[in-house]
Amino acid sequence: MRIRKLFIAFIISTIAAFSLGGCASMGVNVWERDILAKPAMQLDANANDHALDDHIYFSKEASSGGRGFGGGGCGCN
Amino acid sequence: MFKRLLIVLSCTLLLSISAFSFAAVNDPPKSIKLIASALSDSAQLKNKVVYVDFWASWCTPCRKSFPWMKELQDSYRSKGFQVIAVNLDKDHKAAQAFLEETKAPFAVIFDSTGSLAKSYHLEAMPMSFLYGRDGNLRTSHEGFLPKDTVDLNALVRKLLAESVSK
Repeated sequence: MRIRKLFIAFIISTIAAFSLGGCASMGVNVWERDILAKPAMQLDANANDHALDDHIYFSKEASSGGRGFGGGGCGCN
Repeated sequence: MFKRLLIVLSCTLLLSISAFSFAAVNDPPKSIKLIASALSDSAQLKNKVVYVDFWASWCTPCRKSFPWMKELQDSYRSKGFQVIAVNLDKDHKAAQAFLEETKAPFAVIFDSTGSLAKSYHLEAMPMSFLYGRDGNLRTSHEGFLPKDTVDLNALVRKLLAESVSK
């Protein structure tokens, strides 16, 4: 009975170990980034939209920054 | 006894699996042969210093490197220098449009499936490989910045000055 339990544990750990192999391949290759390189895929693709959002954050919450430009959340700038 | 054996086996298995995450040696091909076989006229590389550049039209630094590569090709063509540009665009039309615009004076290999890129284990775009007259890899370079060209120009001149073996 004990051996059987151990055997099951072994099988489970084998499956777990093999599934780790799935992590070996990471992400997109450098030559496959054509779509990612498009301007629409950038984090700041919609500048006007972000400017309006930032204005709301600044006026309602006195916070700014965190989107690639300087300034903290102290509301003092 | 059996329990210990199982523990040892599991540990070995886990360790061996983790080895998969370290891919085999990621060295690019040491010889120019792979590039030569992709060209219709492979004889054009014989006894020449060859600069193999992997690029794509969507990659801004790649586009920026073209005027320099053109200049290099024009300056040293007579001394036995050849630029081979390997295009990695999936969209062939985008590559053609860029080439028509820039009028590159060197051979372009189209590798839309990325098989050459895989063989060279590219780690950046653009990435270039410089081969000496003997067809052996001398150096590789990642990315493109205008300040890099000083060292690259010097190295090309050095390799061109080497005598032709055989």
